Amino acid sequence: MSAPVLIGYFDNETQVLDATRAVREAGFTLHDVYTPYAVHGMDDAMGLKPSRLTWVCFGAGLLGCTLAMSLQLYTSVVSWPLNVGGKPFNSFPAFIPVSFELTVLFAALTTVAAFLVRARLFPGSRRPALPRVTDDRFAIAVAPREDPSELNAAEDLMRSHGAVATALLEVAS
Amino acid sequence: MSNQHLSPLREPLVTEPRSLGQLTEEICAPMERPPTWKWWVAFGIAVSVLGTGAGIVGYQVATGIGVWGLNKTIGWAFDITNFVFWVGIGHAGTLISAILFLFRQKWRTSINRAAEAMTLFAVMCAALFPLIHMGRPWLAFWVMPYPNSRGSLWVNFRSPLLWDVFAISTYFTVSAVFWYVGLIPDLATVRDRAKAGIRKAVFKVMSLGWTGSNRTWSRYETVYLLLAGLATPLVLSVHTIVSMDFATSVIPGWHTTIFPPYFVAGAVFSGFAMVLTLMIITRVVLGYEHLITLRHLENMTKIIIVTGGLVSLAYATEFFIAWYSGNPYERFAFMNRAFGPYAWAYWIMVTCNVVSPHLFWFKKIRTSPAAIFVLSLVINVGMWFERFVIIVTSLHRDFLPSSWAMYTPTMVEVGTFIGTFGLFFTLFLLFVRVLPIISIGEVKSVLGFARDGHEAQPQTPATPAAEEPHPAAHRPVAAVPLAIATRKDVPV
Amino acid sequence: MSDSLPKYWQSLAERAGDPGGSAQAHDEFAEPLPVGVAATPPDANSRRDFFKLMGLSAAAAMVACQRAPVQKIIPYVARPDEVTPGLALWYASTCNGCSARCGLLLKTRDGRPIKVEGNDEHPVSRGGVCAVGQASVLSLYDASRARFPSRAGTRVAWTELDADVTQALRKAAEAGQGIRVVLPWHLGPTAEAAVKRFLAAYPTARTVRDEPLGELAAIAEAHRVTHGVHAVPDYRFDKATVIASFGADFLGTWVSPVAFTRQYTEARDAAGQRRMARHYQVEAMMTLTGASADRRFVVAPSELPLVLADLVRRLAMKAGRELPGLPTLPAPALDEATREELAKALWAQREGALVVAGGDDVATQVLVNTANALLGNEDRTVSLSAGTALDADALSLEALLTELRAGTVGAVLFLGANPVYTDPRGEELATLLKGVPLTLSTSDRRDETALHVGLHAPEPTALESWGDAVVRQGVVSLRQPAVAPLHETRSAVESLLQWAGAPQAHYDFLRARWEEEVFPQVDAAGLGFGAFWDDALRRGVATLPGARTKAPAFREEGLAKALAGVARPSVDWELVLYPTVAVRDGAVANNGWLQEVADPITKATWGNPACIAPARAEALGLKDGDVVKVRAGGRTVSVPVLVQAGTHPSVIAVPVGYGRTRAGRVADGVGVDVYPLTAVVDGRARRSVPGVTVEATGEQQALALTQTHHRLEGRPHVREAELAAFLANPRAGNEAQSGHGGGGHSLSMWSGHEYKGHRWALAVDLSACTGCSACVVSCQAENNIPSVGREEVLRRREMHWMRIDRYYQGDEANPQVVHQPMMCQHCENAPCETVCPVLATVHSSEGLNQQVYNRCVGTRYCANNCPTKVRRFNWFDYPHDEPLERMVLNPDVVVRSRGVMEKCSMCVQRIQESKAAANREGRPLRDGDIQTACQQSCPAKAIHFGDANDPDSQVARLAKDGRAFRLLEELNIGSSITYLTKIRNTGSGSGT
Repeated sequence: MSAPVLIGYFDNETQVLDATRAVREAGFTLHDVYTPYAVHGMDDAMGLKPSRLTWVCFGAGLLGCTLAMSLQLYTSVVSWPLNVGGKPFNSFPAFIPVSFELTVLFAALTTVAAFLVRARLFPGSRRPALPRVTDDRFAIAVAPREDPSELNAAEDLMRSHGAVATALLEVAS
Repeated sequence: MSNQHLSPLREPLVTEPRSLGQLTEEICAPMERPPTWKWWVAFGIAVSVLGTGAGIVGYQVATGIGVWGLNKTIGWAFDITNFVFWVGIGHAGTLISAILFLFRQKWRTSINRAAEAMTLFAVMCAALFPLIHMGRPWLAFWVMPYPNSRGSLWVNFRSPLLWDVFAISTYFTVSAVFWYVGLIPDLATVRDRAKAGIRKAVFKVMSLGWTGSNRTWSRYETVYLLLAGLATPLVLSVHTIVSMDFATSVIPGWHTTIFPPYFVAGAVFSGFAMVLTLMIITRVVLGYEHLITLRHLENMTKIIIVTGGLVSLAYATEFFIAWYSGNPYERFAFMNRAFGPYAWAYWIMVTCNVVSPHLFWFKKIRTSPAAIFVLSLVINVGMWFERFVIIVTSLHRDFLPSSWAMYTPTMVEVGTFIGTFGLFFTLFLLFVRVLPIISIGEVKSVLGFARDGHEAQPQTPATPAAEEPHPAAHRPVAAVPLAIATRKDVPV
Repeated sequence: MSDSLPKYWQSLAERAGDPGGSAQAHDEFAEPLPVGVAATPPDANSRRDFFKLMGLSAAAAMVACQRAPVQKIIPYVARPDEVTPGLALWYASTCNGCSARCGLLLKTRDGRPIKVEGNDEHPVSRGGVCAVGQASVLSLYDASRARFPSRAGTRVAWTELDADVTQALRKAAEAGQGIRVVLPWHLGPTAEAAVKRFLAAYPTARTVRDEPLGELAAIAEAHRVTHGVHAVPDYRFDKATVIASFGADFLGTWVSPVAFTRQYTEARDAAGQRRMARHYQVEAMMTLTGASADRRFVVAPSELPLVLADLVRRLAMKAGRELPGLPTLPAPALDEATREELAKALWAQREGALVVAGGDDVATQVLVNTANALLGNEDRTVSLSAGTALDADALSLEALLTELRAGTVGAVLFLGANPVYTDPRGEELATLLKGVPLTLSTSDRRDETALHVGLHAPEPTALESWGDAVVRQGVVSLRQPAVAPLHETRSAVESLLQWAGAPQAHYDFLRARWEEEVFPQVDAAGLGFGAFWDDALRRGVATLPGARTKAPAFREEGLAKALAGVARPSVDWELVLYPTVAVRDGAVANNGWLQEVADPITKATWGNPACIAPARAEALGLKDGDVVKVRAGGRTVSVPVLVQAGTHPSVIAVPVGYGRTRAGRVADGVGVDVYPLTAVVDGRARRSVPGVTVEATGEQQALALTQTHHRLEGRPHVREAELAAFLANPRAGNEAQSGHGGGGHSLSMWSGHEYKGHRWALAVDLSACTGCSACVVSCQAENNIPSVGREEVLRRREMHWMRIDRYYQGDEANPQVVHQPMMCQHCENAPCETVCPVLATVHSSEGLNQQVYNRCVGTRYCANNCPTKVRRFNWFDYPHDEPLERMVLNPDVVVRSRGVMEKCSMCVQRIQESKAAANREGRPLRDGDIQTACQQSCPAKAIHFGDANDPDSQVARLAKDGRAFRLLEELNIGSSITYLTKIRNTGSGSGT
């Protein structure tokens, strides 16, 4: 997005959590928060809804299972039924292991794929990370409302919560 | 609200005070400094062993499996023994990561990365054997169900070997994905530390443009949890299916329903032993004693006592059922194991797997890395012999006495086996050089875990961690349960 | 032996763990291997050779039937009328493997003989063939055969050679020097006629008869003593009700094993005739025959004549006859009761009784004749009148040697004899030959004797040449070639005629002789000789009703003199030199099939370990593979021992025919040559040698055994019953055991697959099977099964699709033996099929368990999961690439490549062939139309194949028989092979 956002840097998880909550309660639009590790409580602080990836996972699992089972039934019963060890063409119990494995495979791969897509993570992505947020710093990015001047208010708010530095810059959303 | 939990009862997971910055420094250090001569020596040995192994395999493939010691009666021996052995080793990795994650064993954080890597490498070693044990390995792709001009002639989904194909490949893929997803944030950390150049470029690609955005973190946590949830039954299923190679056959000594749990227990048993072997080396060589603490080792020895017990129970049950079934072939098979021509192998197995783990009841042994190291090796030996005993002693004397025969391995087989260790350690040594072998993000999140009053303070990287104590009273006590109840990244 | 053995490189590689050497990877068996190995890389212009030879032999096939001498190669585009590509031609012929002369059918494809089968119309062998006969087709393509006549090893033209010979012969004749023709006993009437013609041409010429195993000579000599005729009688085991054999291995190697086996099984058909001849065997070592005996007694070889003499005395007593000259001998080792029982049993049956003895001791044979005479079974179980006379005025080898020493011999011609190798006096003979102006050999290769003669006039093999034989008085068997001579060879008959100055083609001579002598004897009502001849050619045999001569009476005058020599030596060790079922006297040693087929008793391949008794072995601390030094008559031989149950403690028994030095790539250096240990007693070679010394050397030498565990461990895989019990209850010994012990309580969760149409099955009669292993070789020939060589057998990797399991029970000093032919059981619920990941082994709609070679990736899971371990894996590319030896391959069967599994297919190619034939003729398939290779060659007819869905088929009936049982029923594998319980007639009453 084009409009610059206000970044507030913090050195401490405690402060960044408080600040985030404060910024949001003050009615500012939180662009995002950047942390070196998954900070617990941040989702509530930012008011994020739980992810829907679980449903993707479930669906993909079902799909995998169905595909596996139908492949086995088709090949062993329809396409070319062969008398193997005197067993029925449809040796259902023998088809369970493969079905299970493919269930897991589909579920896992699809979920990860969906995650990468949703989070727009891909090789060659040029998105820059804020200085030291992958190391030991925390950052809050506040998106300006229609009136940029309000950013000053936001800045004060963050400083009051212990921001060690603030900056205005463009951030890829 | 703080990341630190107020629990005077808990022991710290990171024994020495560290700041976030220092952690990053420490964990990334090995990859940023040039390799030590120790590493070069180890790597040199590993690579040359791998090279020899590759040569031997090439010779065998070019010549025919006749260069192995197999015969008309014993169609599998070293090959499948090694396969099961390596698959077993491969189990602890994902197990530590996934199951311990679900069981909220947060001490896993400093070992899971290496353990997962170990899994991948072990599975690679394992996968080699089903391939080269074929009479015509160049046709191995025929085990894949793909439409073809032969009818289409498909594959036999009733064959446990085919189940293996799916199980092993799925296991490898999922473990790899699990491992990589866990790596992404750390890759970003490394990327941001790296000066411009090839290294930066590589990690830029590998870290997929990770920014540490919390929106991403939030989804990431969900995905990681899902993967852990998927990987856990997968781990169990893989060795269950491997055990079915034997359990679904008709051969006395193979044809037993106890195999799936028995094999899984054995796999965890041997897997943990192998993790211990590697961890003890790593923590010494890279100076990670404070991250991979004695407590980690001790916990793992406890798991070994338990799984060792399970394995012993399985041995006993097998014997009892063989007698109780009244089936003369079963009875003979087991008597022949214990007292037949391969009795030596059987008793090595019993000594290593049934007796040795109980030494871990002694605190002294449990807390001495040297002792643990030795015992972990002993257990690995024992578990290899378990598979050897199951496979060879069952085959060499089955139903018709006329075809009873003996098996002795050839140098080619032994060489191939040793070669796989070359492959394994080559990969592992490369891994410790090029990737953060401890999950930076996760360790950071447990940094001050339970270190009462020690909290990572705001600080500039210039100044070292300042440890001015925060009286516990400062914090709203009510917040603690909430914190404990809702943490996702570092489960309590 | 070990050092001279072919060192297959991969064994070295394995021992040394040498990862390199992939260079050799292309020809694993860089050194000699039973089945041909090209010294050149496999593909080197092999295709071209193939077509050349195919063309040649195609031409040959035509030649075989119509007389047109063809030397040049005919391009195959000009197809001979008889040959339809893809269709086999069959020629009736006669086996030349031993003196038995069984009837054969030679199967040729595109002009190549590829399989030998038994001729059902042959009245003596009746469709059976032994291992040696089966393997003769491989010997035809033996690359080590001589390919041209030679003088001192250098090639000469036949004309040149003939010039030399005739000139030398004349000179000898003029100088009054002896001309000696060294021959085996049985040549066949036509060849004998040629010999006579030769002798007539040269007054100083005489025959010398020599055969490595002096059995025929001893029998004939004994009859000269007791009946005044130098002949071998015709034995009729089928008419016997009690058989007493003193060391005669009549089911294995003695006189005419194939015919005897068939007769034997008929005499012991308990199921069919409700009666069973009891078989007593008194012997010093476990023989194939002893293994089938009801009552078997172990006595030292030197005891045999004593026991026999004692028997004769008892019979004489019962007959109330006084026999002068029966020496008063020390009481034999066998206990009183047993001896009396034996005498009683024989006397009770009298005319149904038959006494035979093996070995080369005349006195023993004289005693046998006496016994038979006392029993009065002439013309019933033993018939001298139907017997065959042997050359009465031939010299012995000893006589020849004396002449040679005296230097009165001008020419020695060896016709199919190899005494330098087979006789202890061979060395001396070789040196003496140097002094003889003309020495010549007609052997098919430059063997040990040919090496010491001046001229070599190689003979073609029996499959390339004409001939005939009298197999029984009134039965003349005809031998016709199935292919023109592959090499520049000439039959001995033609050579003799040539040298006799009356050159004539073998065929013309034969036909002429038949026209003059055989044809008149047949009451060919009106039909001319041509028709008779064609019929004889087609059937391969002619029966002559011609009046039988009355058998001369038994005379006792000679007894005393003949038996004077019989004494009881007090000895520690006695050496017994015996022929094995496969290699016999060693003439056929250079044959991979025969080297690799396991000896039915010892299960040894690729060598001749010495059998010693378990008790003796224990006393001496010897175990399998320990090398011992055997010293006899100043000669010493080192040989590995094999602890063999049922051997007499004082006996060390070693097979002859091994340790060849000039046989060829396959046989040279395999095993040890023990012929030098043969004793010579007043001019006769004796293969039972008392007073030898045996000492351990401390060396070890691995034995290539195909079976190393010999007890059933109480498992019900083989079931048997005592005759009495069986007659009372047809299920005797076969009561379905409950639980896991056996018996079928098969629970299935579903009905199973339906088999409409055919459902192929086999039935194997354990009671009939003698373990002779003819089926094993037949299977190998039919299915292109490679011989893998000693090193591979040592690693337990023999490839035989069919094997014969041999188990012992009871006292290991004298155990009961049972043979069980074991092949793929074609299980209805085959464990092997379920586990194959790539569907390389599946079930056919006709109940066959099929192996799909080109789909197999070689996981070997199927073999592991096979309860009967009948699957065989190609560990290497077992070569089939020696251009000449590859000619024997059956084009109907795929040659398997390295890395694939293979196994018994129930001869599916034969099934398809017969189905197609029935189809062409628009008729339903009849039971018996299809014969598997093993079934066809079985001399005992113990194997039956057919359609289990056809209620009237024999297999269906046998499957319902009370004796029927299947392997491992408790596994619910649903085997398609029915085994029939073994019935014994030990008289002990209780079944087992």
